[in-house]
Amino acid sequence: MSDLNRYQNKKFLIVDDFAEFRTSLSNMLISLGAKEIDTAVNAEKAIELYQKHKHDVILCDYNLGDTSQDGQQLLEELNYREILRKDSIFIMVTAENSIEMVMGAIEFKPDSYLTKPFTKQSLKTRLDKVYEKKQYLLPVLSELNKQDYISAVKVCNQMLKSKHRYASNCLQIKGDCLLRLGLYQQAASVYHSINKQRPLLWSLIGFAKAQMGSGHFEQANRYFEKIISLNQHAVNALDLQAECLLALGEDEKAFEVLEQAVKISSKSISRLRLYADLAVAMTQYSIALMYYKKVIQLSKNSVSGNEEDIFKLLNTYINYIKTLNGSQLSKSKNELQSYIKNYQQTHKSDLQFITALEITKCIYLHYLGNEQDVTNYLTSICKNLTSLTDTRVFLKEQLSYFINHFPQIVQSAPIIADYCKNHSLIKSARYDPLLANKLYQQGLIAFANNKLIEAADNFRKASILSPQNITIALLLMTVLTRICEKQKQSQEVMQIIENCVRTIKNLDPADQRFTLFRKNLKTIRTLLAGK
Amino acid sequence: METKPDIDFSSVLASSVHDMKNSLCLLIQSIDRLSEQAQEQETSSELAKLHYEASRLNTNLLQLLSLYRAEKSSLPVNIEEHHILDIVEEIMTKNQLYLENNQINVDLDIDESLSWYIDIDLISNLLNDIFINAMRYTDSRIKISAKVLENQLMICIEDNGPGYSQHMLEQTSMTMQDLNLTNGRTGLGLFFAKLIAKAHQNEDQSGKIELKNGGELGGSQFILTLP
Repeated sequence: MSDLNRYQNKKFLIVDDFAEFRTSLSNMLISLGAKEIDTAVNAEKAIELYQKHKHDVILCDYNLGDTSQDGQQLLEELNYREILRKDSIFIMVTAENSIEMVMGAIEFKPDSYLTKPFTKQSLKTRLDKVYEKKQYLLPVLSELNKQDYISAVKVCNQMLKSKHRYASNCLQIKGDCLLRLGLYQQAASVYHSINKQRPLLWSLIGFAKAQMGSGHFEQANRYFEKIISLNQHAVNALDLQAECLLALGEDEKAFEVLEQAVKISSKSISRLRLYADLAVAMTQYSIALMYYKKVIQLSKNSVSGNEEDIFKLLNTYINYIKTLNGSQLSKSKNELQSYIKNYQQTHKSDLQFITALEITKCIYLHYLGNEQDVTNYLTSICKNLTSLTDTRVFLKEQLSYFINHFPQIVQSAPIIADYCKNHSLIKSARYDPLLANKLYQQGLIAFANNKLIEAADNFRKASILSPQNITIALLLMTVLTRICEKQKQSQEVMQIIENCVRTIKNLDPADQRFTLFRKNLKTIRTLLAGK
Repeated sequence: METKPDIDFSSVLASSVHDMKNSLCLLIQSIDRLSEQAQEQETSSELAKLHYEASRLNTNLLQLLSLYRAEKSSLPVNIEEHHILDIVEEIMTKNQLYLENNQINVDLDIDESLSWYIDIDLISNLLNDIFINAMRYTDSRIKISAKVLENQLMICIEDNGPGYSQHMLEQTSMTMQDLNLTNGRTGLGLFFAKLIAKAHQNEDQSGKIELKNGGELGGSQFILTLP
């Protein structure tokens, strides 16, 4: 197509909080032949407009003012909601490309960064380049739009047969698809071939992720160490390293690594939450409180809700109070009581929330030595539990916390104890992550040979020994989903899957594993609906 | 409780640079619009100068920021694979107005498929700075060539001007500490170029710059080598 009319039929979206820039950028686009141009002042407005018009080109300023998400967060949001077409062009307009900004965008990179100031001609040159690339890659991108990763890999292989200037982009897409499909061995070999030639940040991270997926957490950890020594701002690599260390049972080191990550960026909710969880494990309660509060603040408007974090906060308060004395003690007690009072007020018609809150009260009153009130609340919890037809995740988590940390209280309430037992909420006393990793690797071999039952058995044992390991939980869920598809699903299997979901659910949506997780969820929902 | 005003100079600097660049951005765009409408040669040429100085100001701001960061720690680099021709073409687009007004011819000798492992922002700024210098001192011609030699990328920018002064030629052989930073902009530009080149490392090698006189066009010759 002649480059002169290239942009005539394209839809443009300009996102900038600064009116003068919107006008000036609009004028530039008009002079390049553009006819349809929408403008948005903030991320929220941009999402609304994009959802409606699916623009071909988005020109987005990184800085969108204090009241809006920034450009990178907008790009992520569009991806999380699965509305961003892969063939849409997303150009980030920036005042300067700080390393923090670029490194914060490893998972969802804009197609290009355009640094201010730029002229109409520079804009056109840049647009042309990205446009040509996207045109070339269109056959792959349309498979990605359909989320058909198997076909996308096939198209990549086809394209890689001949030499061309976008070969490296093809390889990057191919590796990403293989990770999303859970084909870790194949992904590793793609990334390895690139690293042999020249180790790049994305191919190193990709390789380490493939190692994680294969259960080689030690190797993956070494790779992440290397990546971070090459680039200390690669915050995403720190997150994954922490996960590897946890999978190796090195919680203390994981805590240190996350401490570093949180210092670099405290935008990711899953990072803050994990940091707070680990702080609890390290008995650093004041840190945990601070970060749970941040998580609750940040997730206020999220669809998934933040009830679980609220209870983590309240439970941590009690632990914190136990370490205090004097004026600090009474101050913190007052804080906790006012939190409880507030939440009771705001959630008074939500029986599940109230029940979970009663558990917190039980634990607190038990600490205060007020056993009569503990008994009263236990009775109430039992009554509520029997009247509930289903329990939401936060209440299950709360029950799990209750029985695993305060078995002596739950003992006197058999209804609660039975409930926890029936829903596999009681953690195994045996914790052996290294053995779990071995079992996981054996499971993978069985899975590759299509021995589903054997694979499930290994994964199940592994997940009992290392219940927080997301990689293990994901593959267990995947193989059980596969089994459910083939034969009738049993109550027991559904229970295990549900527990897997509890482990995986806080996974950052930017993680490739999220694709497999979401696919499993969809399959299960379809199965349940057809029952 | 005692509280000291907590000023992080880096973020103050970053945010003022951000503001200044916003102004520069609007300024340059206005100049562009005016030059499109300009009828007289004299006006066009004045506007081209204005554009040129505004771009230089921008380059300086970027250098300032990078140097400050470099002083705090090592210059952070983000190495990715990029097509060299894309970068060079953008630099030419950026300076089109000046090139046209001063009737400077630019020859390119870069294979379309040539790509290398670089920090695109740092290298673009570096090459742009050198290119601006070449535009200023050339008589009428500039040549940019790039190729891979012994697994290293070599980019050469040369012109048919009077060449580098003896003082400048001596500067490249000095260590960074020896560089006389009080000696005006050229010193800073070179210092910056060396820093960027050095920050590009692969295995045991790091990048370097070289200044020469002569070459194909007989003027100055700037050579950047990256492993």
